[in-house]
Parts: sequence; C-alpha cells; structure tokens
Amino acid sequence: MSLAHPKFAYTKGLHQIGDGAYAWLQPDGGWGWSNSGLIVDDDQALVVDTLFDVPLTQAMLAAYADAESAAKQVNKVINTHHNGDHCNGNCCCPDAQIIAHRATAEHMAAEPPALVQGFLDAAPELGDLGKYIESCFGPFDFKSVTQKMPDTLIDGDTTIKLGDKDIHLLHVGPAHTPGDTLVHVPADRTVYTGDILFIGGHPIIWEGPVQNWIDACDKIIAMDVETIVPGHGPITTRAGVEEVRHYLVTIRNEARRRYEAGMTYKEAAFDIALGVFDDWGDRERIIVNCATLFHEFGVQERPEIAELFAGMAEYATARPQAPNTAILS
Amino acid sequence: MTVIDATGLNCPMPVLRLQAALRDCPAQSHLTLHATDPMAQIDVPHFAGQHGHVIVAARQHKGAGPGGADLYIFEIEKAAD
Repeated sequence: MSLAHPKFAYTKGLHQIGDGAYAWLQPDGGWGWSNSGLIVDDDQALVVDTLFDVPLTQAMLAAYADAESAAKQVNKVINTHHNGDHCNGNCCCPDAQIIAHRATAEHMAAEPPALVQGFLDAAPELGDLGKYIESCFGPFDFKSVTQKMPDTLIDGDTTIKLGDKDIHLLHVGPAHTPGDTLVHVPADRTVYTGDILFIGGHPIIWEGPVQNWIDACDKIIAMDVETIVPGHGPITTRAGVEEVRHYLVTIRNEARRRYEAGMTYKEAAFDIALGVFDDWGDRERIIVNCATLFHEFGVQERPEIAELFAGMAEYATARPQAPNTAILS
Repeated sequence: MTVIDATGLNCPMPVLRLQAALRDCPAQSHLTLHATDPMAQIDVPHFAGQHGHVIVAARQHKGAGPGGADLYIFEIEKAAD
C-alpha cells in the first residue's frame, strides 16, 4: 500500500503545498536524506529544518528563494530535533533566528558534525561496521558544516507568528529524540513532523519512551490537516501516520514478548518477523528499536553507539535489502 | 595524570573503564585512555559528548599496542560540575 499523499509525487526538490507553504523532499528518505519545509507570509519566511550539509542546504535555499522572494532572506529556522540531517545546514542562514526546544539545543552540542565525521574517518579500520557507516554517512560533506546553535529556546508548546500565520510548536518528545517538536500551521492545514514520521522507512527509536511517540501520532491524527510532511519519505496523509503508529505498537508488543521470554535485545531484533513492514527501508533499525525498548522494559544499561551500529551492520549484511521501492509504489 | 589501560579489551569495555575512572575524580581533571579496539574511535567521543566531557586529544599509533595492535590514545577532560 502506498503511503504517499496522492496529490504529491515523491521526487527530489520543491513541492508547493499551498499559499506560502512548501516542502523540500529528498528521496529515498534513508539515512540522512531528510525533508524540510518553507512557510511564507507577507515578507516573512520560516524554514522548518535545514539539511545534513552545506551544499544540500544551499541548493534547497536557492530553490526556496526562486519560489518566494521573501525567502531570499530567511527570517526564522525551526529545528524539529537535534539530528544533524535536520540542523547541520543552519549555518547557511546566518541572519535567521534559530528556534528549537531546549533539549534539542543540548543534544546538538553533544553531537556536533565533527562526531559523525570522526566515525567516517575511523570507518576504513572498522570492517563491516565501517562499510555500513560509509553507506549511511559517506554521501555527505560534514567538513563544510560550521555548527550554528539555536538562539531561541522553547520549553513546551509555543505559538509564534509569521506575518499573520500562527505557527504552533508542539513538543512531543522524548520519543525519536528528546526535543522532538511538531510544526503545525493551521492556516495551511499542514503539519511538519520532523522524525516523528518516517514514511516508507523504519522509524528509529533513539530515545523513547515509545508511548510518547504513539501519543504524538495520535496528536497528528487528531489535527485538522490536509498535508503531512514527514521528516523522511513522501508527503503523506492520516493513513501514513496510522501506519507508523501501527509499526510502533507492533514492534513494542513483539519486543516485549521476547524480553519476557529472556532473549537479549539483539536476539529479539533478529527474531522479530517484520511482516507488513519488511519492505520499508533501513529495516536494520530494528536493532536500535529493540535496544531502546528493552531499556524501557527494565534492562538498565543501554548499548554504546558502536555496538548499535555494529548490530545494524550485522543485520543489514545478514538480511540484504533491495533499494527501497515501498514508498514509490 | 591518571592512565586507564583498556588495551586488549573490546568495546564497550574501554568506555566502561573510562566511566568508572571518571566517577572517582574531580571535575575538569584530565585522564588518558589507552585502547586497541578500533571501535573505541566511535564509542569514546560519543560517550564524552553525551556526558559533557572534552576530548582534548585523540591519537593513533600504528602497531604500538600489545602484540603489535594499533594503539588509540584519548586525553579526556572531565566535565565541569
């Protein structure tokens, strides 16, 4: 079943959603290939999330400026969360106000672009793990990035004004990450969800608890919106949100059963049959999802990051996946 | 300066040794970690970032570890209180 919104093709680049409302999409939506949004009213322009590196963000901003003259000078940027594929390009908007949840700013400081570059630098010595890291992050230019931190922090739900448009910032984390924030624009009947939605790809539960994520899906489903722009994958409808919710509930229940049976998180990840989610991209993320869920169930120690990536590399090698076609059908 | 010898240990042991050593020393003190598992290059900087510690220097010495393994040396400053 296609989860893409029937009105919007899933093609790279700019898509107009409404009057002064746009999305920038990067198929296939896998590791690092994130989406962004542009909201305009009067002479004001707001960007929802920048991209993983400077060249990608500059190309996007040029297209935004071509589409709307107000976007020649971006006034505000909102980072929906701290992962670099949603904020590394902040430095391309030197004069913009950068808005994010406080937890997003804290975790941006803890995970600078140089950290991922360090992973890539180490990759040649890391065998299969290194090859996996290169496949995830190799296409991006982290050396071009100068980290630009948020200068305006929010602590809870907040409404800001852009011209006459109300922009609701709804903190729904910790879920994918601690600072997860939805950007809801009632005037455009649109919500930009950041990585609360991966459409056609496996969500990755870095933080949890998963119930917060399920609640966030319910919050989106209850909104009076026509257009839902995910953090990765095609523009979607309520049906896409319901599928992500279904994934989270299913994986939680399957992992719980295996936790109670005494399996390790890794055994559980390999044991879970992905069923209807099997053709979603990046299915090796089941490793991280089980690790996070097992912590939630009572396992005290969380695996270190190298163990998680090594586990995902092992899973991806054991169960090779064809290019992601689920989202294109 | 305290030196933590985690050579010959696979990840996540180097980080766990570092974590234990940091627990016992005052804020902003400096420690050195020796490791031979290449995955320490991933784990140690990530662990440090998550907890506010600073990697002052990270060096690799080819073949300088036990048995001719590559040796990874991290100088770490514990986070301020």
